[in-house]
Amino acid sequence: MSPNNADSFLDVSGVCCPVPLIQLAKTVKDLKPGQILAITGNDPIFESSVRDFCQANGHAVLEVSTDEQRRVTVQIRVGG
Amino acid sequence: MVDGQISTPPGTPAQASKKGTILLVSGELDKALLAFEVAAGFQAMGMEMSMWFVLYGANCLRKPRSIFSPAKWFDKLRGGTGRTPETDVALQHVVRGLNHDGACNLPLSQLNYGGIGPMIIRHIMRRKGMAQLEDLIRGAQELGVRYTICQICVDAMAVSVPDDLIVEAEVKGVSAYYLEVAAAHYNVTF
Repeated sequence: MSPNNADSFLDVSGVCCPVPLIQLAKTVKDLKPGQILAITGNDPIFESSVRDFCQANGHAVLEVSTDEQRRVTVQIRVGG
Repeated sequence: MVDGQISTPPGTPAQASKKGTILLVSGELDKALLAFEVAAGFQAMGMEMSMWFVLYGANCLRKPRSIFSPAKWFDKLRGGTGRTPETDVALQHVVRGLNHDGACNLPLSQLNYGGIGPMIIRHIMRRKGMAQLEDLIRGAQELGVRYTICQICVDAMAVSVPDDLIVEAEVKGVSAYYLEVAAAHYNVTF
């Protein structure tokens, strides 16, 4: 699955915990169940933060990719 | 790396029932930062957070006023929510005047060095992309964290609610705190 399939994109590069979580929670609030969000960040614990967020709120982690600048993109499917 | 499956069983209202409270007593930058980071982070994770401010903790929510500002000294102790003006005394002006109002004026508990310590910490935080205390206060409130200030502290330390505050906050007492704490899963004091 390419990032182009996502319904919504969020870039939180350059900020660190807990700001990515705050932005993610705000963005997910506006999405409908089943929509896909691609979120990009470069915080060292970014991926595990997003995974924990999904586990706590019933969203699904679809794909995780890292680019050459150590920026991690996680695609999640919003749960109902 | 592909996962595909939903991490928690579908239909579990993970965020519906969990509640937490944070009691902020200290008016120091390090503890206030920690309290607001935990509050904002937990609220983002789905827990319904409520923050309580007593004594110097309320300084985070107060408007930053210079020691030369007339509003700081000639407040006329004008009242506001939770105040009893008939028992106000002149010394409350002194307490009000010497207080470190505002999130940007808080000292550090260690390495303060007369105000240089917080500047160094803020510089490091800015370089690292960390949120400043002021941003966390507003960000947490936008997420839905509720702020409450203790009524006796408002009365004794001459805080005019809502004139003196940068965000909306309620004024309540220990009974309301008890009800929230008893219903919450996570209670912590900074």
